[in-house]
Amino acid sequence: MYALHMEWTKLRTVATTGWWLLGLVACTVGLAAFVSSTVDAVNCAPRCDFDLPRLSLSGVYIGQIAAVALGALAVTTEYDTAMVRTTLAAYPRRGAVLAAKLAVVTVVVLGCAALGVLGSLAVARGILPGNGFTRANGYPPLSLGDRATLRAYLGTVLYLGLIAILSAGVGATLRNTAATVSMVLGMLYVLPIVIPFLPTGAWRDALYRYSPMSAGLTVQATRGLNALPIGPWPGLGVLAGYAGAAVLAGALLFRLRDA
Amino acid sequence: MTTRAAGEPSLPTMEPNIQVHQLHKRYGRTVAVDGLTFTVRPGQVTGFVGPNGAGKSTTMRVILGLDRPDTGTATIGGRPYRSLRTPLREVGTLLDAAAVHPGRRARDHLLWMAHSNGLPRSRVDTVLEMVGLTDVARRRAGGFSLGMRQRLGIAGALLGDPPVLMFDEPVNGLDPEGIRWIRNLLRSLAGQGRAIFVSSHLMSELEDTADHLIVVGRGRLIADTSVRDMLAAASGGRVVLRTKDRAAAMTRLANAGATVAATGPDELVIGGLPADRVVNLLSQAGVPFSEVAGHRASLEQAYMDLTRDSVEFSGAVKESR
Amino acid sequence: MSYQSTVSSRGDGFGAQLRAEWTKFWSVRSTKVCTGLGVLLTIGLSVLASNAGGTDANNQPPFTDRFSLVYQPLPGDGSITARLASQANSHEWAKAGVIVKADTSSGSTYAALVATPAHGLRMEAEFTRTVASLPGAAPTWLRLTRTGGTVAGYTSPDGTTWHRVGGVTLAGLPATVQVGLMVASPSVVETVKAAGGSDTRGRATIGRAVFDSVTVQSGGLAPWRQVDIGDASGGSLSRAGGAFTVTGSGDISGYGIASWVTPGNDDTVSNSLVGLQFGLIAMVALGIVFAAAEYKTGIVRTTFAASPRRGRVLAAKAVVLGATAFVAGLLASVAAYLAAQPGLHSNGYNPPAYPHRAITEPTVLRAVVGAALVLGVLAVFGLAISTLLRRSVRSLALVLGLMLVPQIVGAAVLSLGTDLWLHRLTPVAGLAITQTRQRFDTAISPWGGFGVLAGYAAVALVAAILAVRRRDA
Repeated sequence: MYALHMEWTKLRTVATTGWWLLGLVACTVGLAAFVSSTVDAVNCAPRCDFDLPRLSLSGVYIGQIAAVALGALAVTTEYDTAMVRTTLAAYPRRGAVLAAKLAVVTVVVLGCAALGVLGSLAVARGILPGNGFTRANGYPPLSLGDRATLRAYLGTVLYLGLIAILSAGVGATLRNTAATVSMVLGMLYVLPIVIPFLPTGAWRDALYRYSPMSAGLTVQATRGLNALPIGPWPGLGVLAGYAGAAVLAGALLFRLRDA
Repeated sequence: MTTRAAGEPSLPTMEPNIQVHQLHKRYGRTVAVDGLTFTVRPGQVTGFVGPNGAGKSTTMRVILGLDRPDTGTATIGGRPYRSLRTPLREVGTLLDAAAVHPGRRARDHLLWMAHSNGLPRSRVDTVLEMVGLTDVARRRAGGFSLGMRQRLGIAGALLGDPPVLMFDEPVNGLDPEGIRWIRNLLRSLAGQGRAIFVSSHLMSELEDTADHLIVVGRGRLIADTSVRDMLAAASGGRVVLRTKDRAAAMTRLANAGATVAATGPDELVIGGLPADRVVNLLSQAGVPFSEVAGHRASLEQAYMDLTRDSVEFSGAVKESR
Repeated sequence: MSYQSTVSSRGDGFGAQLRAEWTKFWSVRSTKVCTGLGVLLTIGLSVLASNAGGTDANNQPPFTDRFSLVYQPLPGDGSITARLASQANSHEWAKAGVIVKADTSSGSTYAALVATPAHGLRMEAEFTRTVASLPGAAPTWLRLTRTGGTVAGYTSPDGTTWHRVGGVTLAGLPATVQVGLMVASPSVVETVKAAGGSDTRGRATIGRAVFDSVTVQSGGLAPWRQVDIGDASGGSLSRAGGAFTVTGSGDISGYGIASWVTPGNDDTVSNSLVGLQFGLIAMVALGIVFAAAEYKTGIVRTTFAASPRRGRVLAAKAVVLGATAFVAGLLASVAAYLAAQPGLHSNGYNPPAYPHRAITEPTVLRAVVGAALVLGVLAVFGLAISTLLRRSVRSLALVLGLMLVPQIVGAAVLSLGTDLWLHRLTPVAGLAITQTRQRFDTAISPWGGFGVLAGYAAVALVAAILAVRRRDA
């Protein structure tokens, strides 16, 4: 408990934390608003089967950068400033220190992710009907009462939390903020950018399944699930696997290395 | 005490010196430097003293052209720093010993500095030798102790063999041997005719090193004086008295118009009365005393007296304005 | 008793700043690690992608033979002459003209002299050979003469002075061939971006042309008949006086003929350079850390105290960094391109659908060198942003966000139109320099795109220079 309180105080009192959290919420909602305003339910031929929950959650493509930064900073700032020695002098149980860090940053990111996702729901519900996404055109209003929609929204919150954990784990391994952020962004974005350029086939599906972002974000899909290389929850599981592996590596190194 | 009056014009001169004139600098609401004027002369070590937050580092950054003053000027040998072509040959500085890249070897740190001013590569080895880092020149600075970093910083300052040297708190983190080394270095550099400007928040660090002192508090000049004058002024003609009957002595002397302070169980410090008057008064009143002597203040005490009103962060400081 | 420095100086020229910044840059281990990782990951991803899947483009028919033919037999030698009076602009590659064809089955050999609405007059043969192409359009006189195995083409503005266009020897031409008029008009191919790929569909167009003064020498006795060759549709013939009005769809074309639409639509060059996505992250990080480290450690004060002309310091930094990133990028892109080719070849990217393209080919060279230029400019962009923001994390979030998010969002959720605008307006445009063929998702020309990226970097660098000159260090 002391460790939790200590880590919470550290996170809370760093001025930039607030800005990153604000950025997470604002970017998620902002991009959702932009995407919602560019789609058109009527003039969309020949492909009109919009997956509205996924579309309304596309703000996560930007918002997750803030989650990456928060996760990394929660761990690496200590090394940048050599504060880690103070921390460990105050609380020598390293496993508990890392666990407390992870818990605090994850809870904070989950909270802001929930805000961002609900904000996205609000702007999508406000904007989409104006672009023809009405019940008459076969698009009932987005609602968390729908099981698949609820799964997409809940899954996105969890996705952002897992991204922060992944980043914190990599941060504990690399102990350098810039390296951590670059590496995690590379892990997340490069494969999903490359995959559409690849010919369809087994390789491409395999890359999709092993890409933490592509697999993780299948949790947002509510249409055409059979055509996806991996299911929604197993997809999020892949990301959880990456996050777990990163945390494990970070924890081992945190215990073994000199501070 | 020969405090320079603020606003007194300082004539431009070609001799290597630092001149600061009517300097003002504020960061947001905080006034860091408030009308500072002084000159650092060649051939001596000038101490720059003041409590933490008095504006010493700000003044040094302004002298180096790093920060722009709001008003006022700072010049090196009559020229603004930012007009110098090869500044390392004019002014050597140690601002912050921690300002080295942990992943860079000591030698490379000095090498890029040398390149930037077109200085010969051989100077790097020379200054490494001077500060005693030759053996670790190929180690990365991240593994250096604070003392080694101070030496590396001083090596950087000496790189261009400049006639003016500025050191911000160079003694921080040094062991006693290092402190002695740096004192000797500063003395010998001054002895070569260079102007040496050293800041410290502890007067004791400068006591045996500085010839001249510039004392600042809250961004203002408090004293600009030689160490000898300051000591003399600090004594202020006060008298130390040893007596077994402290109470009687205090009453008698205070009635005669003196200011009396008890400094020990049998010791008083008396101001406002010369020693022979004190002896007369006590003899007449029959108060026993064992010793009357001129007061010899330490530099530290003099400094504490001077800056008492300008310590920004001390506990029970009263607003004096 | 004033002291003078005993150390000589070669001055503080730009060369001195370059040497200083180079020493600073290359003396840190993380610089080398980051550069090396960037090069290796670029090559690795390109190789991975080149092996990730194949194409069946060469299993598709290598030609198309679908058009509307108005014909009669020509026994032995002879010629067909016609005046093409008008041609409807149904498609830029619509064809109308005269033809000598072995028989009316789809795929039989032929020679044709045709006009097109947008690409002049063309003499083509055997689905592979462009015998001649010259300016011109309807109305014009056209003639094909068969002599043994050879067919020669002529044009004339007035039917009296004839100009020989070219000749071609056709293998396996029977004694009696079919001669006549042809009209074709290809489908409009529309590619629609869909989640995770693209759908291609064709919309048929109908061509129409009017001929008159149609004569067949040493023949001309049989009646004219119209047939749709292959599975073409919409063919018709109507005669009024001496005028033949012919409609038809389709194309007669193949590899080697300009109107051919290859079934392989992949840009193998830009696909070979896809590893650039890793390279750009490494180079952006390199640039950002180069500047941010100075602020983090406080070295920036030492730097600006040693070199008070700050704008030149930043310029020297940009030159050192940009040049290093370019050289590393060139190493990476050349190696990635060469290393990706074997994988592509073994996956079916072979002629004729995908000619093997040497790295010395000008457009390939532009893509490969351009990739390195992009990395150099991106590193400088990172440097400038990080100088402005003075922190590595927010700079990384900004620059990498600008480079990565548009690529993802565009592909995942946006309509193609919005996606294309994102690829024109964000620094992502710079990646267009690796493209070597016009595709449905081509947003901007190669150099135009590079210009957009360079513009971002230039504006940021100027802002950074102004900022460091104005700011307290």
